[in-house]
Order: sequence, then C-alpha cells, then structure tokens
Amino acid sequence: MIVLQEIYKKFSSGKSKTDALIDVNIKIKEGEFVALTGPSGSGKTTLLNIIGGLDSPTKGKVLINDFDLKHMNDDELSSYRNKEIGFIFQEFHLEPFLSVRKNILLPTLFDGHTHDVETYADELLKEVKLVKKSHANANELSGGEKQRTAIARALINKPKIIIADEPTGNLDQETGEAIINLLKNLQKTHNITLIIATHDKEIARLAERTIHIEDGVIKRH
Amino acid sequence: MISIALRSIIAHRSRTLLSILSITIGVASIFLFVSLINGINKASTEATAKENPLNQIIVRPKLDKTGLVSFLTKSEKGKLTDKTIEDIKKINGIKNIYPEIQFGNFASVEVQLVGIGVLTDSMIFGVPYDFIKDEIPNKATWESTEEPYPAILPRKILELYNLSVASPQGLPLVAEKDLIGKEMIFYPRYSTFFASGENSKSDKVMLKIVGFSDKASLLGPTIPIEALNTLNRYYAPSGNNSYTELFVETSDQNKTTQIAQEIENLELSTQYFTKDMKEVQAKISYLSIGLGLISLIIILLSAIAIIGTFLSQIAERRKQLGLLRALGATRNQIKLLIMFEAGFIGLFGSILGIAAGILTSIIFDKYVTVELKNTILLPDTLFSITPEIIIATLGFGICLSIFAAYIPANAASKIDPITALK
Repeated sequence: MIVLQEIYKKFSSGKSKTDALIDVNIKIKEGEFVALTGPSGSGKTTLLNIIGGLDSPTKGKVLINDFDLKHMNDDELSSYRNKEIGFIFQEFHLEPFLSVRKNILLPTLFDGHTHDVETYADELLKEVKLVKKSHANANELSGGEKQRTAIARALINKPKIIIADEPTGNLDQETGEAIINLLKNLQKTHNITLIIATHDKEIARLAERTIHIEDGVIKRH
Repeated sequence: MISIALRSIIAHRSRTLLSILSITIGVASIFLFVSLINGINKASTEATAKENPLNQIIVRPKLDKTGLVSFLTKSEKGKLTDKTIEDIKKINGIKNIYPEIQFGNFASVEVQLVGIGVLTDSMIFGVPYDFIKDEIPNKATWESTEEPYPAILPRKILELYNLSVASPQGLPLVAEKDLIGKEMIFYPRYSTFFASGENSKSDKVMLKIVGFSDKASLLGPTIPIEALNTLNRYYAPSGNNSYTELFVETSDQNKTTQIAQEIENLELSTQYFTKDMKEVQAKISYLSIGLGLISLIIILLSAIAIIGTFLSQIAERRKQLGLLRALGATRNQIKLLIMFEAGFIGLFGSILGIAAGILTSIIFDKYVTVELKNTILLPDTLFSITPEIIIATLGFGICLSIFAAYIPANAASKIDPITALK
C-alpha cells in the first residue's frame, strides 16, 4: 500500500519559489493500476519521483507499506529504488553500448537478489518478445523494442511497484497501445502496482483508477 | 560493474585514449628516471667496488699529521710505519695488511707509444707481490731483482690515453696486450718541471710492463716494494721512509666499516667501499632530486590531464550515471565504477608506458654506445631495469590514475538522477 499524506513540494530557483505539489493525499492499493493524468507541468513527474524515492517532499509523509521513506538514508533509498521500484521512462534511458540482455540485467548489479536473475532475464525476454534481439545493442533497436527492453529491465528485480512516466510519449499510437497492453498484462501476471503518468486519455481509460492533477493539486481520484 | 566499466571505456574511445596517453607519458618518464638512477647507482657501485673491494680499507696518514710542521720537523708522528702496521694488526678481523711505498725523490718516466716518445714527471710506487697476485699469476715475474724491474699500470690510464690522446689525434687505440712487455725508462731525480742541482737524465732505471690492475695508483707505475726500497736507498737516502698507504684486508666484509672506525681511532685516515659509496650516493641523490622534480611535474601534468578528461567525460555521461543512480546504484558504487574505469586506464597506460620506457632506454643506450664509445667508465647500459622497477611503476601508474580520478568520481557520485534524466 502506498500512502501519501499532506505532501507539499516546493522548488526554489534564486528568489522565485514554485509550489509543485500542494497538500497531496493519495492511497494506492497493492496490485492496483493507476493512471496519473494532468497537463504538462502539473506535478505528475514530481509525484512519481517522490513515490520512487528519487526525490523527497518538502513536507508530508510517503508511506510504503507503513514505512516512511524519510527515515531512509541515501544508500537505503538506493536499495529501495533497486528492489521495490521498477522505472520506465519516456526516453527509455537504455545503455546504448550494452546488449538488450545486459540492459535488462543492469539493476541486478547494484544489490543482492534472491532469485536466479539469468533465468528470469530469459523469461522476461520471452514475455516482452525480444528473445531474438537479446544480443543486439540497445542503439540498434526500434522505439517499441527499446521500451519493451526498459519494461523487462523494470521487472528484473521483481519489484512491487512499477512507475512509468509517459511510457508511450516517444512512440506512435499503435506501438504505444501495444506497450500499455503489455504493461497491463505484466501487471496482472506479476501482481504489481502500476502507476503511469500520462496525458493520453485513451491510456488513462485502461487503468483501474485515474488521479487527475493540475497545478500541483489533486483535482479528482 | 567491471563489465560496465570496460564497455564504458570502449564506448568513449577518444577520451579513453587521451587518458591512456597521459598515463603512458607519466609512467614512461618515471620508469626512465627510476631505471636511469638505478643504472647510475649500479654503475657507480660496480666502479667503486672495482677500486675498493668490499673487504678492503685504504689507510693513510691524517692530513694534519703530515702537514708542514711534520715535514719540517721530520716527525714520525702520524706517519705509516711498521709500528702502525703492528697496531692495526691488533684489531680483530684483520686478514692482511699490504704496505705501499713511494719513490722519495723527483722522477720521470719515458715510454714509447705508437712510435711517439712520451716523457713525463711521475711517481713510482712499490707494493708486495701478495697485493697484486690476482693480476700477476707468476710470482717470479714480480720478484725479479734485476732490471728491467716489473711494473704494473692502472687500467684507467689506458682509458685516459685512448680518450684524451689517441681519439682526438686520430692515433690508434691502445689495448692492454699492446703494452705488456713494453719497456719504460725511469729517470730518478729528474723532473721535466722542476730544475734542481742534480736534475739530469744521467741515471736510468729500466722498467717492464707486466700487467694492469685496478689496484695500481693512477699517479705512476707500481713496481715490487723490494725493488723500490733498493732504488730509494740509492737515489733518495734522505727521503721519507714511511709507507704512503696501507691496504688492509678484512676477514669479513660486513665488519669493514667497524674495523675502519677502529683504525680511525688510531688517528689515521681511511677510505673504504661504504664510505666511498656514501659520497657517490650523496652526489647521485642531487641527480635523483633533480630528476624527481622533473618527474613530479610530469606526473602532476598527467594527473591534471586525467582529472580534466574524466571530468569532461562525466559531464558527457550525466544521463548514464543518473540512470544508474535511479536504478539503484549507491553513491559509492558510482564512485567505484569511475575508479574501476580509471584503474583499467591506468593498467593499459602503465603497460604502454613501461613498454615505451624500455624502448626509449634501448634506443638511448644504442645511441650512447655509438656516440660516446670512448668515454671513461661508460657502463654497458645507463639504465638498470629490474622486475621491481617494472612492478612498482605498473602499480604507480594504476594508483596515479585512480588517485587522479577520485575528484571526478566524487563529482559523479553527486549527480542528481532527476536533473540528469530530464
């Protein structure tokens, strides 16, 4: 269970201050598929970064299974990001000089894992339909293939939460739909909490619940 | 992690090559300087050991005891006499004492070299057979009581002649074998520089060169001590009857320094290997400091180049490093990744640097052998390359690279993943 209580986030740049998030209160159940919608600059990415442990709120609590993230030091937050969270980015962010397989295995390098990651990587390659491309370098892939690699990478450490920030933003509509369907299927199969930030209403409609945010304020759940 | 580091090195080829080049230059210079100092040290040690074996102490009167007052008063104090030998013999660890005497009047020597007669003022020394037995296997040769008296010359005199006379004047070089058996004329009481009442070439003593030795004095021929005693009685009856030097052989070379100190306690002056080496090494240390400073500048430049290269590489790789942080890499792991990369670059650069150093030393040695072939005491190689130097330089190169990469690695570990991934 993800619980955000009275979250405020302010960004300072010189003398000017921006309120990115104002009194955000959200609860997301385990295994839920939530779409975070809102226009550009509304605070979607900031909210995802706070849930993902990449950023911390100026005020408020982020409880993951009742544990407050503010009690974690930098190394513990790294471990949290590594084990509990799977990130999917709009721009894929793959290592261009590594193969698909090595990109998928990248998060396994940083912390201990209890499962056989090599076998699991093979399973994920099958699930994202990239077995034939497993030895190709990331820079040789199409946009859809890159995002499928990023999805497999997000799943390699068997996280409980997948955070996808505009995962279809750099893809054509057809490929984007395929990616969202793949994510939805994987979310069901692996029983993962999936939070997608999008401004695409069609994608949002596929989610179990939509949270709309505007100017840092939650408008509707 | 190693795999990422290696792939990252390959992916950023131009930066990697630049860093490797910096390390190569730094390591090559250090390697050359260290092996040069080592080579000079080794050559000096060998040269010193040749003149002064490890178990030998040369004993001389103390300078203040042989000064003007001593000369005018004909005082025996401080001179090397039979009593001095007896006193030294009482010290534990003395194996042999060989006295050396000197002709007690003016003397000149004439020798025919490549058809040219050379007449010069000279000193004549006398030593017992045992002192030079290694050079003259046949004892009877040395103990000849008739003219021509056997004489030995120092090896260095040949080098001096070849370098400063034969080479500049285009005369043929002279080898030891060319001079063995050659006769020299020794003119007692005759000086080419100092005129005196009895200065004439009327008296002649014939000498015959029977060998060469590093133990022989550079100042003139060395003949049997008995023969010189006889000549002194004839030509220098009022001369100094004391010994000029005593060559003391110790039974244990490790005790030479200790024994030398005991001899010095008898108010005598000593010269021995360790003492000579201290002086030589003091001179070498100036050279080491000079070369060390040059190396330090080169190392600093290499380090600055590496820091610069890594910093700009990290600026280029902000996205990659930010991604790794987002995926769970800790700050220390990012630091470690950059250090790994620096370590590999250091390893490759050091291997190349050592190879470049070895190649340069070979080329330099070849050049020196050809261009300076007639230089006195020129060793076979100026560089002494040992496995220790290779290992130490390799380690140094890797450490230098890692050390220089520390600041960039630290900067990399502080990259904010959110900003980097924007």
